[in-house]
This record gives sequence, C-alpha cells and structure tokens, in this order.
Amino acid sequence: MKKLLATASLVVAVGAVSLIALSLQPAGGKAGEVTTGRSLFDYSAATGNIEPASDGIPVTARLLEHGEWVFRGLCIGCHGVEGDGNGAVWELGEQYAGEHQLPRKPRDFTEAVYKLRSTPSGSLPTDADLFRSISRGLVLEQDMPAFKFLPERDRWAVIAYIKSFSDRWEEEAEWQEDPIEIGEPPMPDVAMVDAGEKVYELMQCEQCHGPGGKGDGPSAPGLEDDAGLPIVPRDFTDASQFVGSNEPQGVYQTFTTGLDGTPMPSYADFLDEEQRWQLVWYVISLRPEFDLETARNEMMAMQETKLARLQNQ
Amino acid sequence: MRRSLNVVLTFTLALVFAATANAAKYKEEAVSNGGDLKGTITYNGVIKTRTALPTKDKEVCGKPRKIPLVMLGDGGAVQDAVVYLKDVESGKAWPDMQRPVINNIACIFEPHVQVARRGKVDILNSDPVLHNTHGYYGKATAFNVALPFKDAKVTKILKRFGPVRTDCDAHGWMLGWVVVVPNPYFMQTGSDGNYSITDVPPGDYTLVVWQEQIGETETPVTIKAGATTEISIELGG
Repeated sequence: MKKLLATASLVVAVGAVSLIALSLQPAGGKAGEVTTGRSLFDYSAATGNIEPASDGIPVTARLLEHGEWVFRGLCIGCHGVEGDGNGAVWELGEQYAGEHQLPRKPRDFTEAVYKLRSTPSGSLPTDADLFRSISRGLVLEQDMPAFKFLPERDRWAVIAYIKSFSDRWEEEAEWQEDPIEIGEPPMPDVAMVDAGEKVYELMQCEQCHGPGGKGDGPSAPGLEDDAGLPIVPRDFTDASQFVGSNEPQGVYQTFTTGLDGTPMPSYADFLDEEQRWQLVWYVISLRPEFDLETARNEMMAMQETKLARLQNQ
Repeated sequence: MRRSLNVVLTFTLALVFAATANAAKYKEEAVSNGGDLKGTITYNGVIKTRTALPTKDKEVCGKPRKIPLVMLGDGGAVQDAVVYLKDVESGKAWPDMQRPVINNIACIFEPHVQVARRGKVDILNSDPVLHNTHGYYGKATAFNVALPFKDAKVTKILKRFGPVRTDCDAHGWMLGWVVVVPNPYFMQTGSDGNYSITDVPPGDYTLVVWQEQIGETETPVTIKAGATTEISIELGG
C-alpha cells in the first residue's frame, strides 16, 4: 500500500514538473530575459482569468470532496498529501539539489501563512486572494505555476480544501481584519516618480533592496524565510521576478500588507494613498524597459480592457 | 468511497475544531473556596548563549556581545519564566492589564519577555534606524511590520495563545518574547524565581512553565479547596 502511494505521488510529481515546465514558457524569449518593446507587465503565456467572476461557492461536503480531488490531482506533487509543503517534488529536489530544486519551499497549508494577501500583515487572506494566487501563480510561474486555465469551480473547491488543513480559519474568525482596498493607479509622470524616490529613501527600502533596487542592500545577506531557507530581497530591475502581480496594484499590495512568511514587512501605517502610488511608480521605473510613455500607454490600454469588460457584463 | 469518507472526516474535524476553539474561551465567574499555587522555578543545566553581532547601525546597536538564554538569580532561580495553568475553563476575572508594548531600543526588544492576553499589542521604534518587528508562533509568521524611523508606532493583534517570538530581519540577532496566556492564572518570575497563582477553582490542571531556552515544561497539579499547593520545578534540558 505504501509502495503504491509512493508510486502514485511520483507520477503526480512528474506530472507537476512537466506542468511547471510548460508554464515556464513565457510570451516571448526566455524567462527573466529582458527584451525591449515588450509589455511592462505581461510575461505570462497561459490563458484564463485571474480575477474571480463571483464571490465564491458555498462550502459543502460535496465541494470539499471535489476540492480534494483537484488537490490530489494537481497539487500534492509539491504541497504533499498532508498539505505541509513536503511533496515529492520538494523532497526529491532536496535530495538531488541543483537544477531540480524548487526556489522556495511549497506553501505549508497547515500553518496558513500566506505571502499574497489584500489583508493586513498577520491576517489570513481572503478567498479571492487565494483565487488570484492559484490563478496567476507566484513569481510569474517559476515558484508556483498558473492555474488560471482551470474551471472556476475547481479553483473554489481546492480553496475550500486547502483551508481545511489549518484551524486558524476557525480560531481567528473573530479577529479577522478587513482587506485594504486598492484603487485605480494614477497615470505616472516625472514628478510622481521623483517623489517616489524620496518615499523609497524615507521608508529605508534600500536597507534590503539596495539604493538602485537590485536587492543588494546592507541587510540583504543572511535573510531567511519562515522555513529557515535563505531568501534574497526582490531585484526591482527584473519585472519577471515579482511575487504575485508586477502591475501597479500588485506592487502597492506587496509593500502595504507585507509578504508574510518572508522578511518583507508591512508599511501600511506609514504611507498615505498618494505616497503609495509614488512609491509604486518609482519601483516600476527601475525596470530597464521602463519609459513614461510606454507606461502611460499600457495603463490606458488596461483601463480600456477593463471598461470593455464592464460594459460586456 | 474511502475518499469521500476522508472528506466527511475532514469536514467533521473542522466542525470539532470550531467547537474546541469555542470551548477554549475562558469564562469569568466568581470563585468560591479557591486554592492557591506557589513555588520556585530553578535550573542548573547548561546555559546557551546567542550572539549579538551588529554588522550595521553600530552607533545605535552597540558592540558584539554574548547574551545568555537563561537569566539566573541566587540558587539557580530562573528569571523571566512564564508560569500558567492550562485548561482552566472558568474562574477569576482578568486583572487590569495595560496593552502590551514592544519597544525597539538600542536594537533590543524591551521588555525581553512579557505576558499578554489575546488582543492588541503596540510596537514602537525608539531608534533612529529602520527596524521591522517580525512575530512568530513557532516558525510561522504572526505579523511583520516595518518601523522605518524613530517614534514609528504600529498596533497589531495577537490572535492566538502561546509564546510569540519576535525578531528583526534588519538586525538578525534581535530577539524578544510575548507569551499570550489563555486565562488570568499566570505569573512571570522575577530574579527570585518565585511564582504565586491565587484563587484557582479546585480541580486538576496542567501547570505550564515556559522559558526561552528550554521551551514549555508541563506538570500535572491538583488544586484543593481553600489550601495552598506548593510546587517548585527544576527545569531540565
């Protein structure tokens, strides 16, 4: 029986690895490679929606069963049958090190600590936050592949199942903090980017991320994540390496709510709305492919797409 | 079939968790004929140290130094142990407790150890450098907030019981503790290592002693009506 389980998880592991390999093919060029004329934000090849179309599905025993089916089919290779992040892909990577090693330990759902949240540091994410992470993947599909191709019901079901691994969801219900609303980003201009550089200095971002945003600040050496593994501060000059969304709203969320489970803290208490957008545009301006006109054009295009989607509904 | 059984089991377990979470809620009510508990916490094992090794902000953080992980008074008395009773469902009212404060000063968490109830905690920066106060339950992040300048202050919520370790990713050697207790039957020891817990409803409980190097030590205790039970504990490990 044990042997059968081991074989089964190996099969799943191999499946998961090929899935990662597949999703690693970006829209053009190699992952991480900077080509001029490319979008400032869109590096993904997979198709599907990241934003949920509804608020979710009521959790029933039937939905949980479906969630377990999805989880066992697609997730246990990395996250493990127990949901603790000790899947075969992780353990084999540990064994062989080098090219087969995952860059980060897969999320341990029994601890229920999540990097990508719209909620304050120390809070559980909303279901919609989990939906976006599953759909988009993390670090543009290198840590965690994008599952936006899955039917929405599969995604809501696996969210319900993932939550059953930790009693935090029950225990902390009465303490749950509200999400931090993120509005529409303002159009960037020179003054905004310059002001953002001042915010970057005032908030001491360079202590970890370095004065040029390359992730080489004085506090960078020796940083660890919750798993006790070495972690490096984000290099802002590589847009393909952002955790979660590299769009303005994504950058806003990261420094506002922090990335729980990593050394990245929350700055929610020290920046007003205007300063947050200044910092967002300064951080994005550090990408070598950045210029104001491209950024403004992409923002315009994004707004039009959004408007068209709203009109279609 | 087995799969659906598993799911039903998971679902039931979730409900049981919900039930126990509610049962764990402490209820205040008058205690008649309560008993007292007192004793001394001692240790005579190996004392480990941690090293404060400032690599930056040296003018604020001071010189490299070794810091013991057990503070001993006379006769092996343990200072800053937190002693509390587990599994008390109801009993005396909580004392007036001010909101706990974690102060970052000279790259030290002040106080080093404190006790709190579930709820809000204020986090302060008294240094002119960037700190971030990163709290953990075990290895799992409880919160992580930046304090980018002097007098920066953030309020967070300690949502669960248990010891919360704090560190600072910007100054990796910093270490502090907030022990979140489930009921008012607790005491933090001073340099004499003594504790005294009063007005406990008679019954059988588990006495927990937490100490930063040793962790938690559990001892079964029986509290008798109107009597003082004396239990002194020599910590091992």
